[in-house]
Amino acid sequence: MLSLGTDDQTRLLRVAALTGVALVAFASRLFSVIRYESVIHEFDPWFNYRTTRYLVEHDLDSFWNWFDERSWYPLGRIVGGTLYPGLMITASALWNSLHALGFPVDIRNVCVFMAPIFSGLCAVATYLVTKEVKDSRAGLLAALFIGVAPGYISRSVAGSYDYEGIAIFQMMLTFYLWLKAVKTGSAFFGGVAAIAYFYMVSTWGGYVFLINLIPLHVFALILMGRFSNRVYVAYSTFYAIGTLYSMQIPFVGFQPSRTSEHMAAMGIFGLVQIIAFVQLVRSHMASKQFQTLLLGSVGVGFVLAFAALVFLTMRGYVAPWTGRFYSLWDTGYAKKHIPIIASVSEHQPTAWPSIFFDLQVLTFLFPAGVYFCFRKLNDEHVFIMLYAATASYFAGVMIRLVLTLTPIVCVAAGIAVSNILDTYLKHSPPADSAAEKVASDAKSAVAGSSSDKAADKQPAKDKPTGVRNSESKLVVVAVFAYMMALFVWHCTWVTSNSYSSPSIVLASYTPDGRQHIIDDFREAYFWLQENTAEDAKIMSWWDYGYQIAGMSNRTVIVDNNTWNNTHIATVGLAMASPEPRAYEVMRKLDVDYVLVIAGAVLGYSGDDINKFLWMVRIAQGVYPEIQETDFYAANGQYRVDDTASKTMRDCLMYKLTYYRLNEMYPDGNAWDRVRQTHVPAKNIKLSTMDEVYTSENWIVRIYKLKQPDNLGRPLTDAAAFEENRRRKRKHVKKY
Amino acid sequence: MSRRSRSLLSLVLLQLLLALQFWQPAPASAATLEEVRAITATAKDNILVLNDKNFPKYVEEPRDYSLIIIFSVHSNAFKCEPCERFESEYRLVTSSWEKMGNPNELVFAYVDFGDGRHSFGKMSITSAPAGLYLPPTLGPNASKADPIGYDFNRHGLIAEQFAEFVRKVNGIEMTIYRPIDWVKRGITAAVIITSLVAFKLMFKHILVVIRSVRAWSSLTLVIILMMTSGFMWNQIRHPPYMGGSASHPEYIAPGFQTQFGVETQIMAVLYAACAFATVSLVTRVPKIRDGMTQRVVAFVWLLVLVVGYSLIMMTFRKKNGSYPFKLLF
Repeated sequence: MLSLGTDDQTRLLRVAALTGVALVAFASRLFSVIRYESVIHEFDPWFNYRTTRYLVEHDLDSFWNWFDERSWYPLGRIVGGTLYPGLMITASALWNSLHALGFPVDIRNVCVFMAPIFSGLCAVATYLVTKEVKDSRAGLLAALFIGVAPGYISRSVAGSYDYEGIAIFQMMLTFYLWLKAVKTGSAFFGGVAAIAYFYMVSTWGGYVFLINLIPLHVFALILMGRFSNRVYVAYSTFYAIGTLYSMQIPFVGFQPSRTSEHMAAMGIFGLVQIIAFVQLVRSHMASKQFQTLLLGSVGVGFVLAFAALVFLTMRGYVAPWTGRFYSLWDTGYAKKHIPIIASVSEHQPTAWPSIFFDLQVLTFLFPAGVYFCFRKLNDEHVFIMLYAATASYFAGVMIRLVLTLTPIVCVAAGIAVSNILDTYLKHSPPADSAAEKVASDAKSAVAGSSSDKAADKQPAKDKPTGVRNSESKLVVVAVFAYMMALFVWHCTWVTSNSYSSPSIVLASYTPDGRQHIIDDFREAYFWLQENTAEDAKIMSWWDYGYQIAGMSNRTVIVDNNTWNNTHIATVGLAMASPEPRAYEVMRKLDVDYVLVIAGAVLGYSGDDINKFLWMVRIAQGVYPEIQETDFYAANGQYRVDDTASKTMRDCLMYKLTYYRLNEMYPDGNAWDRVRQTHVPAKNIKLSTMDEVYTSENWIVRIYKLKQPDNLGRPLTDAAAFEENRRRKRKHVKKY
Repeated sequence: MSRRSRSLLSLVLLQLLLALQFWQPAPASAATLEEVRAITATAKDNILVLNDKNFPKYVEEPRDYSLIIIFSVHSNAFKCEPCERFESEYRLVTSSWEKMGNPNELVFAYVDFGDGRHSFGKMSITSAPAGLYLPPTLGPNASKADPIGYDFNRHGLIAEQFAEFVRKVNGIEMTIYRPIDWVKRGITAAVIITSLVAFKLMFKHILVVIRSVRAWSSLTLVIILMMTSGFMWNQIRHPPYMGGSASHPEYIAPGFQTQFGVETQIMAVLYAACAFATVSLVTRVPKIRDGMTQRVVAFVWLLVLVVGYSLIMMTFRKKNGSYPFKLLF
């Protein structure tokens, strides 16, 4: 090391620090694997895992052409044309290269560790972005922040094999290359940014944010009078190549030319061409009048183009904003018109504790960092400003979009903290290379080891400004070091306590502190796989569709890909109807088994009764025979006890959830631990189906539909008849 | 339940302690549609006003008209803001119905809790505003179906939404005639013209603002601070501004997923103070030439930062009881 020059030493330290950050980012996401096992989490990841397995077992061609008959029975799903394939292709590429190198890794493990690996890469990408905006010192801090910030960890722990886990890396990479392209004005970087954008499009629907933010950046630059040839070259290459590439994804197809989400990008592309043309003409024209005329005609042309767009949208040639994106602007829209979107808990607006929980100290460093960007405003700082403002709005509207806010918060906070350290750790000039070292010292200060080094540094006496006394330097740096340490503790605590639960395996603690694993879901799904016919159709609420298909390999009616509202509403109708009507609906859907999640015994609050009102609302939107108000008790509350309305107590979901529950308890004491109420003691009678399986803690309950009666009677009548006869027989025996 | 907050409109719950068994209405003869129309024709806004005295006659006796009844509260004892907001919208609906020439046998009625306590009890209405549709019990459309309720939580207080309900239960498409508010329109037009003229006259200055870093930066920072303090949550969920009573006000709502309106302001101010202290430490302190002053100012800003952040963490611990970290207090 001594033989290296200072520059090389700095570089070495920087690389070492960045590698360390990437490793920390990887390691802090492993709680769930260590605590439970290497298992795929939650709901959507099960679909991604299932498709990845398919891709690994078959080849890419059959993946594109895969028609999945196991979901959305009887409609099926054309998988290749209805998903973003980037994640699966990345995973299978990783798996293939590992196998080529002779590591026989299971595809499940590749999928489980995918998100942590890409989080490490995301830290590097964030470093690069911040370096473009400020310098490498801020970059290292930003990398550390993104590595541990809970806002990002929430979506990228090991086992959370989902689009977002790798898409944030792709987004930051695209932003880095875009900034590079704007700064240099090079078509090369514009093209590379377009390729990164293509990779992002292939992975996550959130690319719409990116394809609106970058044109917004260009537009703001034009407004602020900062339009230049650099911007022209960068945007023209980026848009042209990026759009052509993105249209290669079957799921995206012709959307970039036909939907409102992409129209801003296209309009700015046109505007940029016009402005460049005007500038070119103007530089060759002397006449003032002609210039005015030209400018006027450009203005008229712009207005005409906008009017044409409005006309095309109204005539239906250009699709208007889809509900999912539109609801971000008109926040009441989803609640009124698309209950299926409003029903998802992560689509709720964000109260401030959630943001603080996800960002902690970064929340106030964020505006500070953005302010520092303004102090020397370049093109890239305008970008940071726009990203900060738009992303904070979106994060406020939807909890899940805190994810897109987190990277910019980390960048800004990195800039803020590095400004503090620049000011309070500065020693004698020339500060450049030494300051790098200081930055890495600061990193160790973050870990809490040494901040007293600041005291050794001699203040620059020849400079008129700067902090000249070592106590204030020491104290300021110490306070910030402590706050950073607190942030790291906070992140670890949050990750460990809130974001590392796989949600298909639950943990509870026995009074003596030992962990007790509750594995009802996998138990039940395994039962389905072992005990039902290969082509059995399982009806459940859509939340569990991906898990049933992934773990039991059985056909489901609806799943988490909520593309067909009517079909989901039909399932809701079955769940919310009284038994005979429900049976009729289920026969039409060709259902063999019904699966419900009941938390009453264990106190598992994510169960179907708690989701039930949404089933009712979604069903009501399509089938007016269901009325939400009928399901409330007389006092207007949602109850399951004796005061529950008759409709509620007669509906299928209620019966399936509480069937035989009272047999567990002494007379009249059946207790629901989720709702904290008594459950009616009267026996629930089922005449159209049989209970075939209930898991250990009663979380998963599976019922099999009876065949229609041989004599053509309605099953309720048949059951009543049987019961009558049994009673009579008893009667006869007695005497 | 968990996914939805029930008290969207903060309906006023009424304690209806009624001794219905002692209530004997005076026998009344059945009313016909012509009779009722004669009343509503002279009444304001085409509304049949009901009270405990005439409720049996117009509602309970056999009748050849269908009814939509709004149960509302209009007294100082119970403050019902949604009731008042809905009443003006309801008048729009009823007067529109009149403008359409009362197309069928539907009659709009209204009961105030002050005059119609027992009527509330008879229809088992426990919260206000409430809306019920009752089909006719005589005539060609007679039916014995149950009353159909209008769900204010779900559909809101807007006349158009209520007209949609009317269409659903009654089958006739309604158009709401909103009176044109000329004053409002005039003001809008004046504002537009003035701003256009101002834009033309002051284009140069506006350009300066558009291109000024200060304007952009303040706007961005305000957006950031508002959004990270839960401003949009308030916009969407309409929480009360603060809780508790006048003598014991509560500023912080208990619970992680909820907040009061004032919390957003408190948090935005705290965040702004911390951010400002951070910025000042970098921008202001190094410019101070006097060593002692510099020291003091640096410590003051640091104190602001530490105290502000401690307050933030303290507030957060109130929302999340199990949160283990703190700074000063």
